Order: sequence, then C-alpha cells, then structure tokens
Amino acid sequence: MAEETVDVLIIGAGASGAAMAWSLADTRMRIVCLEQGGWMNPATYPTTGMDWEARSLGDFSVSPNSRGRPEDYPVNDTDSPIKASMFNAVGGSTILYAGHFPRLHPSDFRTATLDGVGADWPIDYATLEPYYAENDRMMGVAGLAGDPAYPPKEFPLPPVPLGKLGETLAAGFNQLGWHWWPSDSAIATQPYRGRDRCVNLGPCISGCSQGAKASTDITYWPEAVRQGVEVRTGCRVREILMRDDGMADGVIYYDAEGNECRQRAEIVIVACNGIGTPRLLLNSKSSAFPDGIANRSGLVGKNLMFHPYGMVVGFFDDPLDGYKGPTGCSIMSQEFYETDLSRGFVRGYSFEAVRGMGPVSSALSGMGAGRIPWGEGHHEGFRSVFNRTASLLAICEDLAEERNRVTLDPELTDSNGIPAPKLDYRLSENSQKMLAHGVERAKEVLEAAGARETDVNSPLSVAGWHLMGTARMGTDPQRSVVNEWGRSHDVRNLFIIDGSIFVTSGGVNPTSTIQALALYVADRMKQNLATLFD
Amino acid sequence: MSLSDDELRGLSALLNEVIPPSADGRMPGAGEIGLAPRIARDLARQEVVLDAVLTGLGTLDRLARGECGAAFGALLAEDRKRILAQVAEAGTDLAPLLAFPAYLAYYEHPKVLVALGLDARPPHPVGYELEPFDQRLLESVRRRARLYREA
Ligand SMILES: Cc1cc2nc3c(=O)[nH]c(=O)nc-3n(C[C@H](O)[C@H](O)[C@H](O)COP(=O)(O)OP(=O)(O)OC[C@H]3O[C@@H](n4cnc5c(N)ncnc54)[C@H](O)[C@@H]3O)c2cc1C
Ligand code: SF4
Repeated sequence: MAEETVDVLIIGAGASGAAMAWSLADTRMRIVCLEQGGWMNPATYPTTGMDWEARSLGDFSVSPNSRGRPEDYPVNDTDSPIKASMFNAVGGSTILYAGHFPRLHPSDFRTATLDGVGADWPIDYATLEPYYAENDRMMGVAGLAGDPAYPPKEFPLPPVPLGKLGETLAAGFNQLGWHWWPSDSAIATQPYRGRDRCVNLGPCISGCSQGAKASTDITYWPEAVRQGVEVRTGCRVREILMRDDGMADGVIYYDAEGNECRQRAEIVIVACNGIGTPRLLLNSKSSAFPDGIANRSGLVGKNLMFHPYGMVVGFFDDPLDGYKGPTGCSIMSQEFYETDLSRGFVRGYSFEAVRGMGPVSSALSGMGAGRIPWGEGHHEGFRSVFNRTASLLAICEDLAEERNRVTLDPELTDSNGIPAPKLDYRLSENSQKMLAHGVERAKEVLEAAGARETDVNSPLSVAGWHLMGTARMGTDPQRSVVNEWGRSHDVRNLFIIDGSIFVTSGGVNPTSTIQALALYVADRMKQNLATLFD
Repeated sequence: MSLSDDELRGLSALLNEVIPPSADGRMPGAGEIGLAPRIARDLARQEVVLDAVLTGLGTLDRLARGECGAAFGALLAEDRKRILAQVAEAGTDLAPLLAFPAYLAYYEHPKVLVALGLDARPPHPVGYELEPFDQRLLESVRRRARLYREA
C-alpha cells in the first residue's frame, strides 16, 4: 500500500490538540491526530464505585509515575520540588483537570513593559479575546459577568453553586474587603450541547462520570470527528522527521501493538503539553537539528514554568458540606493579582477555593497532618476534620528562568524505549516571597471566615499540572522557538500550540488560554493557507 | 499469599487497635467489619510490608500464648494492649504499617459511611443538590473600581 501523506498531523489529543482539530476541520483537509492514550469510558470512572477515593490514588492518580498505565510515560521529577501531573488519553489532562477556567489578564501579556520582568508576548489580550469567547462556547463555561478583575466577558452558563463552603469563604473575603468572584468553570451547570448538568459529585479530578465537566473528549472531539478528523489512538510518536528541504516530513510512531510506523504530513502540529512537547522535539534529532528539531535557539525545554501553589487548609467548627460540589470550582480572588512592589515581590497570584474532601481523603490527609491519630483519639480527630475543612490555593505567577527546564533523561525510557523527560526546577526568590505572602493572606481570610485553625502545605508538591514555557513564542528567533502564530522559526511547516508556547505564566490556571491560543493559531493558519510556508 | 484463620483473627484484633470502636458505640472498630481479608490483599501488593506484618503478628501470637495461654486474636482488650505495648517497646510497632490501608478500607465501608450519617453509595449517579447562591453577597465587590491594568 502506498504511504499516505496527510495534510495535517496533530500530535496529542488533549486540550489544545482538540481545539485545533475542530477549528481546522472546516477546511476539509485530511487531518489525523496521533494520541498515545485511548478513548476514556466515563461509566468506569472512579466516582461510579465505592472505591472512588482509593482509585484516585491508583489508576486515576494525577501522577503518571504512580499511575503507570501502559499509555503513560515516566517523568524523572526528582530534581523538582513540584512533581509532574498529567493524563494521557483522548482529552489529555482535561480528563483529570478541575475545570477552573479563568483567563489571563491583559497585563500578563506585557510584563516586561509594565513591570520590567519576563518578556512581552507577541500578541495581546485583545487578540485572544474572540478566541477565549469561542472556546467558552465550545467548552461550555459557567460564570457570572461583571467581575471588576477582568475586562467585560459573558458566559454561556450560570455560575456553579457556591454551597455553604463557598459562601462561608466569600463572607471572609467580604469582611476583609478583598475581591472574590464565583469561579469561571468549564462545567455545565445546565444541560449544554448534549452534556448533562453537573450533579455536584465533588471529585472532578478523577474524571467526571456525569459528563458535565468539559474534557475535550466530550466537547471538541466528537464534533471534529463528525467533520472527518481521524483520531488514531494508542499511537506514541517517537520523533518528527525532516526532509532535505528543511521542512518536517512527518513522524515515526509506535502503534498499540508496538509496531514502528511512519506517517507523512504536509503540516505537523505538536500538542503534547509543556513536558511532552519539548521531550518530543528533543528526541527528534537529525543532521539539520543535532540538538532536537526547531531548537536553533537552544530554548526548547528551557523556561519551564509551573504555578507554585501555596495551600492553606482551614478547620471550622461547623459542617461545611464541602464534599458536595465541584472540588476546584467555587470562588476565586484576585485581590493580589497585579504588581504592588510594596508586597516585596513583583507580579502576583490568584486564590482558588477548594471544597472539602471525601471520608478517605480526609482520614489520610488528617493522618499525614498529625490530626487523626490511630488508636485512642481517632474518632475525635476524624470528627474535627471531616466536612469541616475549606482550603485556599495561592496560584502564583512563575517567572521564566532558563535553568528551569525539561531535558532527556540519560537512562529512563517509556515502554517503547523512548527517552523520558527529566525536570530540573527550583523556586525563585520571587516565587518564594509570593508564596509566603499568599499563605499569610490565606490564613487571614480563613480566620475571618471562622476557621479555628489552619494548616499550611507550601509549595504543594503534587501541583505540577500547569506546564508552560518550554517552547516559547516570540518574534526574535534567537529568543523564542515559535513565532507569533505558533509556527517554528526553524521549520516552516511545524507548529506548536500547547502550554509550551506561553511567554509568561500569569497567576491563573492556563487551559482557557492554551485553547484560545490553539484556536487563534488555527485561524491564522486558515487565513494564510496559500502562503503558510513563506 | 493467603492468611491462615489465626492470622486473620490476629489482624482483625490489630485493626481494632488502629481504629478502635468509638466510646459512644456509634463507630465500629476496623476489626469488626470484616476488613482483614481486604487489607491482607492490599498489603500483599507490597511483599515487604506484608512480611513485616506477618512476622509482627507471629511475635504477638507467641507472646500471647506464652503469657495468656491464647492466640493474640482471642485475647481480651486489656491483655491485647499489654502485649502490643511490649512488642512496640521492643521496636516493632505495627500500627504505622497498617494505618494507611486501614484508613483507606474503613472509610469506604458502607457501615462506616452510614455511621457517619452519609449515604452508603458512590457519588455517581445521584450526586447532591446545591442551591444557587445569594448574589447579594457580591454587592461590595461589584462596587469596587476596576482591578486589572489595561495593557
Ligand atoms: C489534576 C489536574 C488538575 C488540573 N486542573 C486544571 C484547572 O482547574 N484549570 C486549568 O486551566 N488547568 C488544569 N489542569 C491543567 C490542564 O489539564 C492542562 O493545562 C491542559 O490539559 C493542557 O493541555 P495540552 O493540550 O497542553 O496538553 P494535554 O491536555 O496534557 O494533552 C497532551 C496529550 O498529548 C499526548 N501525547 C504526549 N506525548 C505524546 C506522544 N509522543 N505521542 C502521542 N501522544 C502524545 C498525551 O497523551 C496527551 O493526551 C489540571 C491538570 C491536572 C492533571
Ligand atoms: S462535581 Fe460536577 S463536574 Fe465535577 S465530577 Fe461531579 S458532576 Fe462532574
């Protein structure tokens, strides 16, 4: 059989790959997406069984290293205080994400100009605004208009209910006169485009069996597939190949049976997330690119940004019903988002409220914190924790630093023998000061809301779920990997669209921006199809 | 590896020390609700831990038979505690090894959920109802000036 050359090859079927595939589908080009994971079956998600909390530590753990499913690849994160967290499947990490869906602020695109740190993006908030709005419609975002922390925006769905826990925290913010607002949430609060409404199960981060949370396997992908996009699952890409004329030729991948296959393409789009993308680029070595494809700047894998999280748990006397409602979506605050140098650091952070935990997680975390002993005093300890906690997460802006990076591990490989990524990451002094500030302010809010005690967990080590900066965009080929519309400076038919291309991290969860960027890049590609490779 | 009946009884007795019945009688002990076989299965995933628990159980049993003339699993609470304290003093405290699997299994058990006043069911499909929030809470925030910077 003659080898087929497809028009567009997308690698990775997560948040960004899905948005790109859907947007390009109306061009009627032949589009194939290679995804190492498979389609998930929500009927088998943990929340359908009594062992739902145990499974969130096992086959639905947020860490690919603990989960160890066949489609996962290991990540060496021993040299990072923040550990890698992701999911590999159609839907990518949105299968597990909490759906907290704020946008960046206009100032996030201009940190060099406004605050003298980081770099300015080659695009601005106004450029992305229509794509944010389109993505909100596609994902089905719930929220409330009128937030003074943002330029005006509308929502297709009403906000998530705050519950007693959210209202208690809101009262704490009000008492201090600090900003708060119902979270922008990628959660269907009413039936939406064939999806059921949220029934407040709680543990969205082990998959939503109700189909209310907007993971891309149930939002973008069904529409893209209906329009002819092919998703090939169980296919792990080893490397991107080069042609003699300096263009990408396609890829070598392993199919589900472990066979080595080749797929040629006119356009290659990488959407493997802020760790998977640099890993793939660094693994794609050729005579033209001995240090990895698209890496003449030497910046592939560098400038890794997480959002360092400071977590403060408040313990209350009265029950808060916190196990009801979407875990990560109730209220947020941006009182400390914009730079105020009198705080001792530059840039800022958001607070995201986290609802309570189920009985097992309460017991285990209470044991870890020394609050629920075994033996005598066990039940008193449990009663003082379960259903009586509310937490605040300070989601801190991470400034890009070249020493924070993804490289290839010299020994560790995945099940196909492909070198695994290694993380080297340290918290900057600015991040440490910001975390300390966030922790103190969180304690104040929790106390104002009525907490009798607080526990601190900072930096939160499991929170390596926002992966950004490792193939940044920019206009200068020496200082960036892709241009202002996601095209590699070095290889003109190679595009990158995931969180890797972020220039700065902002202090909010990144996925609405990742997807808005993917839609924007897709639009630019469609507008310039005739001259795409010029 | 499957545990003998004696070992399972010993394990149940130990579990009752990790999570004892509550003083008011509302919460059962972890050894009273049949968790031992499941915990033995969980422990078997980490052979070293299971080995340590079985060795510890063997020691407890020998001491129990020597001092009280009965298997550890058959002792009265007071004797059990005394024997456990002796073994712990000698450096073999089994509770920390058992706490994680015990907490995990105990708090998903239907009897425990009911005793906590919760429904003994998985979250899906019933879920929970929550009322829309009272937007008057936002009045003071709405009155605030713009918080973002134009750029
Ligand atoms: C527990 C958790 C909670 C989160 N909560 C939030 C939240 O509340 N709000 C928010 O904004 N973000 C959240 N995130 C982050 C969010 O999920 C990511 O930002 C988003 O999914 C990233 O999109 P992406 O397209 O860059 O990559 P992903 O969605 O991670 O998709 C990448 C895909 O590429 C595939 N892939 C990688 N390498 C290869 C290869 N070599 N060959 C083939 N396929 C490959 C992977 O299998 C994966 O499916 C959370 C993440 C986690 C894990
Ligand atoms: S709380 Fe809502 S969105 Fe989250 S898992 Fe449950 S139904 Fe899904």
